Amino acid sequence: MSKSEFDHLIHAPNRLQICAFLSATDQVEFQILRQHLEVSDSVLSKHVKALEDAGYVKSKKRTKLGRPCTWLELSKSGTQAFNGHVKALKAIVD
Amino acid sequence: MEPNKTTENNGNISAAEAKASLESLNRINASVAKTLRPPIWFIVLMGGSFGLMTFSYSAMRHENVWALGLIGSFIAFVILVAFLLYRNRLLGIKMRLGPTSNSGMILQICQAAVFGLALIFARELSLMGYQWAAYALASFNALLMAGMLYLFPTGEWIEQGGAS
Repeated sequence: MSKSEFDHLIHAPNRLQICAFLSATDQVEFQILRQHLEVSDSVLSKHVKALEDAGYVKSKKRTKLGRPCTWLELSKSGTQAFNGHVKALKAIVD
Repeated sequence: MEPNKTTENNGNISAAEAKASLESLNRINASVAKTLRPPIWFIVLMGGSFGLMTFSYSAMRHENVWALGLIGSFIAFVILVAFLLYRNRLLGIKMRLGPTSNSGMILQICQAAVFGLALIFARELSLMGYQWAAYALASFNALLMAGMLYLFPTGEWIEQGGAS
């Protein structure tokens, strides 16, 4: 069970949405995530890089119909951090 | 403790800001659910095959035709689940099979318990001569499966009406 911990890295609006999307799924293609968040490639790359550096997100390069594509997934520590952050937010509201 | 983590409200954010963040989480969860929600015809097929599975199991006696119905509906259900996973993968999303949060775990345990109890009661009541139970509980399971697929396609608890 994850502890209730406020995480400044996750709390940024775009990064919170990235973590929420990834926590609801196993893996998501970079372009699909970009379409949902309605941000540019560079903005999403920047946020994903920050989460990757913290060990919260893992990325895998694959090919789809001959085109290279990147799949993203939330790591175990990322899942714990995200769940802990959501708990902390709920604790603040309550 | 890692530098970007603080306990409870040491993050110094107001309750209103925390509430806005939680609302944005609900919106993104509803958006994911909308993306992963299968088409209605597919939901009807899955609910139907699950209902048929329940009815076949209740009506099965030794080796009558409903034993074949049970095998057929089970195979159909497995193929439909595989198709759903493959469809979402083609859309660029690999679905998670297990729950990630406590609310998701509770939802899935309750769902499994209700499906299982309906299946057992349908069989037992049918064996006791109450044939209506097989029809009623098969319909119940079919409708519940369709409802769960429509409302909670990710398997996680989602506040309804969160999508913009």
